[in-house]
Amino acid sequence: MRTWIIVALCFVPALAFAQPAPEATKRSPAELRQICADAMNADPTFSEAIVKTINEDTYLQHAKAASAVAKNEKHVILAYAAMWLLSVGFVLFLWRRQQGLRVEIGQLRRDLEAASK
Amino acid sequence: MSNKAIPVLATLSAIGLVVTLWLVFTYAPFEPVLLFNQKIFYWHVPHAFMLFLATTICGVSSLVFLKKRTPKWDDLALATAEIAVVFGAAVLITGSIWAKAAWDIWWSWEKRLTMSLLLWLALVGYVLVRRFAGASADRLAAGLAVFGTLGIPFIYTMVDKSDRHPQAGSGGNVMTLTGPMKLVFWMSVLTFFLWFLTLVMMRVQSAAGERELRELREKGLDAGVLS
Amino acid sequence: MSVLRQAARVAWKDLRIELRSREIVYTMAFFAGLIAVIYSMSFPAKPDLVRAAVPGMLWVAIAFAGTIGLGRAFDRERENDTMRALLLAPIPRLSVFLGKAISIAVLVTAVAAVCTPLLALFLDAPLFADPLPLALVLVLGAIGIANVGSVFAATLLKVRSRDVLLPVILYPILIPLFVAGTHATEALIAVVPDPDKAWYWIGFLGIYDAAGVVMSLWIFESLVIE
Repeated sequence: MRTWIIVALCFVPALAFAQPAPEATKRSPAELRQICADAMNADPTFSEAIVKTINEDTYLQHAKAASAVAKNEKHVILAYAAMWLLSVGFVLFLWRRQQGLRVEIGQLRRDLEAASK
Repeated sequence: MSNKAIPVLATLSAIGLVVTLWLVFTYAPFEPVLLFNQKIFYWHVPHAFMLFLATTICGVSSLVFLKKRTPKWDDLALATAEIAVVFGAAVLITGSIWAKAAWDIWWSWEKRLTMSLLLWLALVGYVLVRRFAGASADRLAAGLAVFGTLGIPFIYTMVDKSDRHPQAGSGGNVMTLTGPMKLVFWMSVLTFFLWFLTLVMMRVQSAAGERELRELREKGLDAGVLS
Repeated sequence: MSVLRQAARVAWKDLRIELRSREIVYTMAFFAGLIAVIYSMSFPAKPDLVRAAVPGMLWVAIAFAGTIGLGRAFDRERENDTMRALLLAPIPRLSVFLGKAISIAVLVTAVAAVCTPLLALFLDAPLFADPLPLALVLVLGAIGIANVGSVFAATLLKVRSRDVLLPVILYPILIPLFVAGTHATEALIAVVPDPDKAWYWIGFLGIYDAAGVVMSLWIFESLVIE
């Protein structure tokens, strides 16, 4: 009786070794992706975290581009305004000289009238 | 002639200005690298062209004045010099703003900016000499304009040709523009050329008027009519 | 040929006056020395900066001293009212102009000859690494300054604010000359001298001087005479 028990006990580890080791099963990348996706979908907080990160990043990039365009708008407007101011300034300068001419003509006319009296 | 020409030119340039503005903001496409701030180029470069044109006219007209001493050439030289100062200031200021928008620096000794600055300085000198040199101001300023214009090819040869900063506008040369950009650009050049002509004619008229007044007064003094 | 000979006579007159009194040479040399001292104090103990800035400093010193000397040379004529005598003399106006230009070219060269060793001394710069091309550069520069300077200094003779107006008129015109001179000097004294670049800029100076001389010969009479 005791011998049978010892033999049976010896067989147990033999049985364990006799099992084939679970080698890496050759699966296709698509299958593996599916497994991964299933695992992600199975855990709702994980997928939420990923979506949130992507959205924030995109939002930041959009915001940066928008601010760059806005700043450039400011520069374009500033440049156009500068040119306008310069042109208007020159026209005012011309107008002032014109006024000076008129005053001088009036003065000359008065002097001539005074002299020819 | 000039009585009709000035209002006509002014109206034409006003129309051209509206059309150009509309074209720049609706028709011209975005340039891939600089995007929106490249629009400054449609205002900045025509002013630079007019600066060079005005300087050349001033130099040639000064030379003719020195040789012939006919006053109308002096008027033309004075008018183009003052207008070159205005347009040059526009080029430098808008160039500076554009540089800040595009490359985040206010100034660089890049060849086009340097050339414009040097020409502008010579013409500011012209205006100063005209004002402060007294009786022989017209001769002196004319001499400055002649030598200054003579130096243009030398300045062009000596400026730092290495384009240290990327040049905006399709490969850096306006001659390589194509398509809608080309149309808008040359429309803009035409508009500012008309505006330039308007300003020159107005200033020449003003200078001629002042000269006539001076001569009339001197005649009156000589004749003993005036005191 | 007689035009040139008369011009040489006018130039020799000026130079002889200068040799006797040595006023302009002494004052210009001292002024150049002062500039050299001021420059050496603006770069405290930074030998790389000094070496890079020496060509520019040399030409700025020449520019300032040359302008002052120009003003002074013509002032002398004005004070003694000898300009009228010169114009009345039975020699062509061209000779008067050329003679004055030659004498001022010699003066500016003398100033440059003083500036260079002073700067070399104070700033420990190897300005005599290649003396002959450097001398050529300085002489060409002096010719350019004298040429344009004489025309305008003569025109400014009777103008009230001539001291200020002479630099205002001269410097924009002379910018290509100063830049070329600086580039040439820098190519000659660099740690690794670049003779090709130096000769390129010397050629540039030569062409600039030629163009300037032709232009002044063409218009000096219209400028100087009322």
